[in-house]
Amino acid sequence: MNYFLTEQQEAIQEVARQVANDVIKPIRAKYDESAEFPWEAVKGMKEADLFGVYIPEEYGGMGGGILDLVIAVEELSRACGGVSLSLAATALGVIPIMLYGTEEQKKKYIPECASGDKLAAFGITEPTAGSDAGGIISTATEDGDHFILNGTKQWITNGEVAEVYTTVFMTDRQKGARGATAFIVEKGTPGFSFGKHYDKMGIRASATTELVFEDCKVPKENMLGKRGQGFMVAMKTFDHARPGVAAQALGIAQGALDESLRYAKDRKQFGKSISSFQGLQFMLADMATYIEASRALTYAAAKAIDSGQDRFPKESSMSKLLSSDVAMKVTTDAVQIFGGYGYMKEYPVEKMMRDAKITQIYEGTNQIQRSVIAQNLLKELLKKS
Amino acid sequence: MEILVCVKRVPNTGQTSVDSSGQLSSANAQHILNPYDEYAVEQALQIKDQIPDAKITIITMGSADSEEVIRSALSFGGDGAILLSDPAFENLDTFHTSLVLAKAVEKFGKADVVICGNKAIDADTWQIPPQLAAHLNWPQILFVKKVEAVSGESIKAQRTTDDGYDLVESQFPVLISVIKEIGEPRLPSLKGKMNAKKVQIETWDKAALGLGDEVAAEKSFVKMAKYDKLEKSIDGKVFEGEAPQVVEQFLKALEDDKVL
Repeated sequence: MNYFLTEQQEAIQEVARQVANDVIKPIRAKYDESAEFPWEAVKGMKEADLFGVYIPEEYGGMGGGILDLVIAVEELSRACGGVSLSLAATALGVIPIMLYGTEEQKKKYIPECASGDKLAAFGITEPTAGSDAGGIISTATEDGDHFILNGTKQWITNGEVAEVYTTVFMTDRQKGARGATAFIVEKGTPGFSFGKHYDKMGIRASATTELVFEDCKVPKENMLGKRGQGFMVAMKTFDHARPGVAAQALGIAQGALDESLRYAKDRKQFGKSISSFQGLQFMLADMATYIEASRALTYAAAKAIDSGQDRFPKESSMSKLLSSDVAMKVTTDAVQIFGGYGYMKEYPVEKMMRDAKITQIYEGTNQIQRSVIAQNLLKELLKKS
Repeated sequence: MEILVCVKRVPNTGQTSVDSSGQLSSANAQHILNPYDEYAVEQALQIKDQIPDAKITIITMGSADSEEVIRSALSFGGDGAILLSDPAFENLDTFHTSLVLAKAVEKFGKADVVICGNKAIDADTWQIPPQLAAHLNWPQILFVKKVEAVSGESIKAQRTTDDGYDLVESQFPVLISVIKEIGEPRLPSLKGKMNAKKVQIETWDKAALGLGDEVAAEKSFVKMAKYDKLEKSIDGKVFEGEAPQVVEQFLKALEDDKVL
């Protein structure tokens, strides 16, 4: 389908596809097995200038928007949804600085992430605070020109491999949701260390760790946004970044369809290609149709964000909800099409199925996405009446 | 420092055919940047990595269709491009092709190094680099597998021989041809790709190069009389079925032929 992409967006697609095929595909199984961090793939994405596609030129980027990011993440995820996440999660760490950073913070942190010289990460989840971000108990206590950070963040993508961390702490617990504040913390800050490295079901090429803060002293100029604005920083960041997760899911699904089509054409049973059987054709047709619907919605949500609309949580959540559910269905069907081979690790589709699952869970479970969508529908109704 | 990289638009050789008159037809073939020329571009970029203010200009002789391969070469990184195009340049032999290229190098005037891939996948003559150097009366280092050192005025390179390599040093200007051992071509970057779209391609015809009637297909010393397909010397054997059975059959065939 023609989405009337700009010349630059088409170039992003071509370059990312080449990195996916030439750099990521040959190594995806190795990193899925070892769960080590794929620095060689990061180098490939960096040399291709893909880390800065959504960042304004004045901060070293290519001047595109969320749609540019979506296109890059989708293409990279066609090869591996784990490897592509190092780029997508860096965006999740950079976007809050783009949205709320002071000029000094933007100049200090964004260019190095735009070039891919440094990775970034975003940390909000804690053992007691998942879907309910209000359950955060990590604290930031004011101490002269500094804040002292204490607490643990868990399941943080790009943990330890990133240099720049955007995180949220409670500064004024008695104020509830208005008592949280966001901070930028650099790797190497005394009192900031990395705890557990998680052993995951899928996206195993992505680093996921605990962030541990023990009397970690950060200067006040590292506060991101205003004091008490932490949840707003997080929510707006998610509004911007969810199409990125949708793009990851979309890429994984497209990768599974690519593999399924090739396999169905080559595989012979009962003396003919299994692609000649109607039962299988219907599966392939459904997969392609659902993927195209997800792509249309994801690109539309990204375009809405890039148009400068103020808030778009509904569209953003819809793109993530649909694309991730589609990715789960399509990858499960891909394994079914491959039959016994699909269940074996020699073929890539079982990995895609494992990788797809997380997209229904992180950056807000799909149940939370449905809540966001419903709440916004009801809000819109109230406004109309 | 100025580097000129010679590239060629070639048919994907897997898609060519021989027509009824015994001539090679590439009408239905996709055309690509000669893969050996990607190594020439890569070598230029490796020099630029060391000497960042080096300028790289891509040059090719061909029809207007060559723009796509010029942009493809530029997307790896390049600052300018020249297309040598004239109806008289069609179907030239290597002597005349290299003469046209030499005139272009002279007109360009400022090249310190001309880099070529050692051959093209279509005609596979290997003749252009040495002939071009001869027309220019320049030193040449052919079959370079590694450039050991490069400065603003000279280059030191490993020239592959049957037994190993010669280490050759030459002052500028010099022509080098490279082989794939110089290193895998890097992938095009987004900035390179966007830049490639913007570069203005200069077009020079016969008159611009100061050439007259001496350049024409009928003046070629070498003419292709007839192409013929290579007869298969050995009949291949195809094993079909599921992988484990195919492997078993293959191993048995190797044993039967006493290979194993």
